[in-house]
Amino acid sequence: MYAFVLPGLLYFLIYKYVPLIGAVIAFKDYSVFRGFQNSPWVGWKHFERIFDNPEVIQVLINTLVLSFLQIAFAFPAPILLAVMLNEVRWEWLKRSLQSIVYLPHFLSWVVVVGLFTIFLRSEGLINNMFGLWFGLDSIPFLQMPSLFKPLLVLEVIWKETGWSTIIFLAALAGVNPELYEAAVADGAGRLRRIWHITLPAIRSTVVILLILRLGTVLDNGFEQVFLMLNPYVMDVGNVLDTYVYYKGIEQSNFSFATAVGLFKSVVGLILVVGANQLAKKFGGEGIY
Amino acid sequence: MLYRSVTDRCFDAVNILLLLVTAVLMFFPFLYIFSVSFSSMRDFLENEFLLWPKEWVTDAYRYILGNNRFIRSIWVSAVVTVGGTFLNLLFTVTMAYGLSRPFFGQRPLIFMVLFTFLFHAGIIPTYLIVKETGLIDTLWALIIPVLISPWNLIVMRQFFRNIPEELTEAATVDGANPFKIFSSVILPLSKPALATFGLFYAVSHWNSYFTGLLYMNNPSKWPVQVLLRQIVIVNDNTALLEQQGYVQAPPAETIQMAAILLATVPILIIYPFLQKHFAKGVMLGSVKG
Amino acid sequence: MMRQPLSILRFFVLICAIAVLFAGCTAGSGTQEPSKTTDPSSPSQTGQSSEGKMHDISFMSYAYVRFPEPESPGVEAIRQKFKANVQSQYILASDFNTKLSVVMASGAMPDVVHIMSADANYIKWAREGAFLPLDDYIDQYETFKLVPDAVWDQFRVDGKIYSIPMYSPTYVQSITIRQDWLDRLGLKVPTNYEELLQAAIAFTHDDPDGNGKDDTYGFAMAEKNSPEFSGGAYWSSAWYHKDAEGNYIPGMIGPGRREVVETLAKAYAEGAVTKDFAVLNWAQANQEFYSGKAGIFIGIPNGMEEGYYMGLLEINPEAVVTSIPYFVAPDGSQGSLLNQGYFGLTTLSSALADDPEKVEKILTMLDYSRTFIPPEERTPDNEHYDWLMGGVGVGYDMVDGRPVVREGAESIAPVGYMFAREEWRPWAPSNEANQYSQMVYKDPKMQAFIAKIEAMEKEYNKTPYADPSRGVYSETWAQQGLELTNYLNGEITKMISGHRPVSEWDQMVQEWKDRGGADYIKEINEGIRAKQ
Repeated sequence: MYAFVLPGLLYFLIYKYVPLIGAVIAFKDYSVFRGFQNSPWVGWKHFERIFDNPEVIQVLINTLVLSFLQIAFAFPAPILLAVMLNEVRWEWLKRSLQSIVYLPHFLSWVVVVGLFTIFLRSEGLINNMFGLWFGLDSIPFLQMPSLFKPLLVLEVIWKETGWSTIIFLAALAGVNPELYEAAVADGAGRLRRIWHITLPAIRSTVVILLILRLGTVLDNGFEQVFLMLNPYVMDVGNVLDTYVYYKGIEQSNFSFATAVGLFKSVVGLILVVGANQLAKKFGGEGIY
Repeated sequence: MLYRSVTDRCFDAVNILLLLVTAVLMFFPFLYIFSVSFSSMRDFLENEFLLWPKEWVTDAYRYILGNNRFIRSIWVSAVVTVGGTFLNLLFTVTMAYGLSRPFFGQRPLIFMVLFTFLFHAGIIPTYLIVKETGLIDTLWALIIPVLISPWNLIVMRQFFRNIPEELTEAATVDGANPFKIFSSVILPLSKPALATFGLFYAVSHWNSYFTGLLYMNNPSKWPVQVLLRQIVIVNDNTALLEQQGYVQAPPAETIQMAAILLATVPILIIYPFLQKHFAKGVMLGSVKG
Repeated sequence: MMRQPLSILRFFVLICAIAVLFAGCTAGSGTQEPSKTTDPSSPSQTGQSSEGKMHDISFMSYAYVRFPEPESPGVEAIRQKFKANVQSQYILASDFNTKLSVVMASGAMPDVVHIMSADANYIKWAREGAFLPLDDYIDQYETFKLVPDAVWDQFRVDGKIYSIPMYSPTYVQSITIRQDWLDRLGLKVPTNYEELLQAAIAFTHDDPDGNGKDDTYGFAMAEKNSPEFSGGAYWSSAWYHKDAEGNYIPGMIGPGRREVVETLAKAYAEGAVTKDFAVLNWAQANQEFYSGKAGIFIGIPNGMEEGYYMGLLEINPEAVVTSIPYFVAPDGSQGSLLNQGYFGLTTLSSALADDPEKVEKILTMLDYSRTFIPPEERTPDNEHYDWLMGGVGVGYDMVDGRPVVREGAESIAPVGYMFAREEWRPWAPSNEANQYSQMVYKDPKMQAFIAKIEAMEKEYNKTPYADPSRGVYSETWAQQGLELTNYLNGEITKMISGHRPVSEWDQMVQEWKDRGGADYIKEINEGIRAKQ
């Protein structure tokens, strides 16, 4: 077994672990010109900078709420879609549908946000339709704070659900068809078959994916949020990534960027370790 | 012959209806992109949302394809995607299999991998390692630093763990060594997984732009997404203000849409070839008694 | 079952081998690592007997659309003419700062580096000794002498000059309006914000395009309250006004800006401003105007997109866009803010202090490319011009008596490798000398439109205002500038769209000051006084 593991291990050591030594710049005032050695040590200064503004509490709340909304809705969506696709009995139809639902994944956020804006802006398509069919006044969807987070989740669902079904479909491909036949012989209907055979087959995969997802809980996808942010929704929409952006991270402040990254990673680590323990307690397999 | 009850048929009908609605919702923005890419500037300005070109204009495509830089970048991306994906799978599959069976030191090792999933060093230290190992400005810089994705490794390992012990035990009883077990038992059963992760790696190579930007100094070695970014992002207020170009104005929206389609299409083409590996019944008949 | 994987295996190994070959072959012809220290005795590359040594000069810059290749006829031409082996690297402007940082972090600062702006990083690096001070060289080169003090002052660090600026005209955006709509409604070209507001409201309610539909309105706007619609320096973001204690204050919190915001807020209430402007990007704002929906926008002689304007004319052949003359301010002044006057800085690595010959060569080449050639003389007869642009028929063509750069010429023409921009940007003696309308745009109608803006600038912008805060470094701004601007923009957006009353202006300014704006004002004023 060691032979199998060795090449990969070498890769991890060289290209992942050695660079991690460089993460020390989070504790220095790193200057690209001075380099690692000669940049002065500043201890926790950059970490403190994250928290120096009372606004950061709201920002962290926004970040966590958005993340949990994503996990609650955008995480299960591909499972549902995968099960639905799995139940299609005509192979050609199944393949065509699959190909189509994968498409949005390939668009960049610039394009996706642009598309949603075309639909939802005050003179956009949806409002034009409402005006034409129902005579309603135009609704400024994009200006409403209460809709902001749900809209972000909806966008992610639209963009990523199709693509995310792949992993579940691959897991479902490994299910023994004899199990289904036996269940039908026992008189089980469609839904019961899904509940007792299909879902348990992907259970371990779902658990692993969920644990991994928790590791990135403080990540919300900077590009998407940044493109969608506007003054009206700033209070509910400013998340950690955009908050630190406005603190000048763009000005190549690598020390600060690394400090924020470390902070996020530590929080992620705590959640992953916790979730892993929980998974094992419930009789499953954790990651380690 | 399976008995199809009425409820079964109802289920089918509803299921397919919902799936069709979903598919339509996910597809028709592409019609928009397609239409804009074949439209004139005037048609684009006049119509908020084109679903079909009013007048077919191929200027955008001629602008992009006429520039041999675009073709070159497609070639770069293709080479990196094919070669890179093969190496990705080679390294990931072996390590994932290695970590899927218990042995001394396995738990710390998998935790190590998990750790790299959570903790990243940042672009400067990574760049320095890439430089020190002599990869800058070679295509290897787009392959080796991303040889194994921790996420892919962890999930693939899970697939291997899900292969029943009875199968590997049966092979061991027959006197096979780990390599033989790997090639004749594990691999054939993992076709869906291999196809899946192969696709993930391939798409990740095809879509990557930041590594290309950072590690490639020579524009002739830029992968396609770097070029695409150059075309699409130019619509910046600052950029427009200071342009003093003597030639064509920076690319218009029509060109951006064409660029998006052109960069996406190649990867969409390989997908159907991989689909057959997702077929059911792979485990059929493998466990006897 | 076993055969299939094996043939796939063979196939992949083959592809891998090809990849290796490809990588190996092209790696050789790629750019060499830029070297930080230079060897004064670098051997001659051309093998000719050379008077003067061949210098290897590494050079890193950014570009937006056109990216000169590292090896090309242009580079060869420079080897011949200047005995300089230029190793260039052009990077996407949007990611340039990141790439520059990693290159410098890896200890390989090129000989010549372009910096996008004199920001906090520039000042930090200058102080850390990354750049060669250039004060002694300024008087030795013609085009450097032409740069006015007002420009040098904007990026001096501790009184020293560390870079040569690249030319940009001092034009700023001015307001444009649909003349045909004004005519149809019997309105005059607005001369103040009151009249501008009236025009905007009329455009919204009175069907100025006469098509019987309610599909037009006034101001086209985008996110971040752009464009500013400033009718002159008085209403711009310049440090023009003073507070009660006699301190300069930034234009964005001044009475001028307030008037503009009040105007826009009133307009918005009448539906005369793009409804969802806060979520639209710049391209979409352009679309609003050039599709014939909005009637008021902005223009500038350099940097307009011809495609938009021509698109408008196709949709609406009788459309006439006019440039609105700068308004006369309450204090009697008329004219715009003076724009920076430069865009991008050329710096030399401090490691070159040991190699004065190389420094001279670099500066000579830079000077050569910055020399202004009047538009009439940009012909094949002018050797200087012809060489820089790569030769007529090769790098450019003469069309209707004007030079037109050929597609792909950025790698053929030497000009992209002369340590200035990827295109020819000579240091012009005045804005008008550039004749942008004629030299940049192709279609005669577009040229005429731009010429109108140029004429307006000439007539009504005789005394542009030089912002005294330029070149003054503020620590608060370096740390919090982005935050402060974001906050202010956010509040102003709310005021324009009616979510917050404009009467709370003073309150908003106080909020801004409390967040750090007060320190910012203090530091800038200290810097201004120090310069006097």
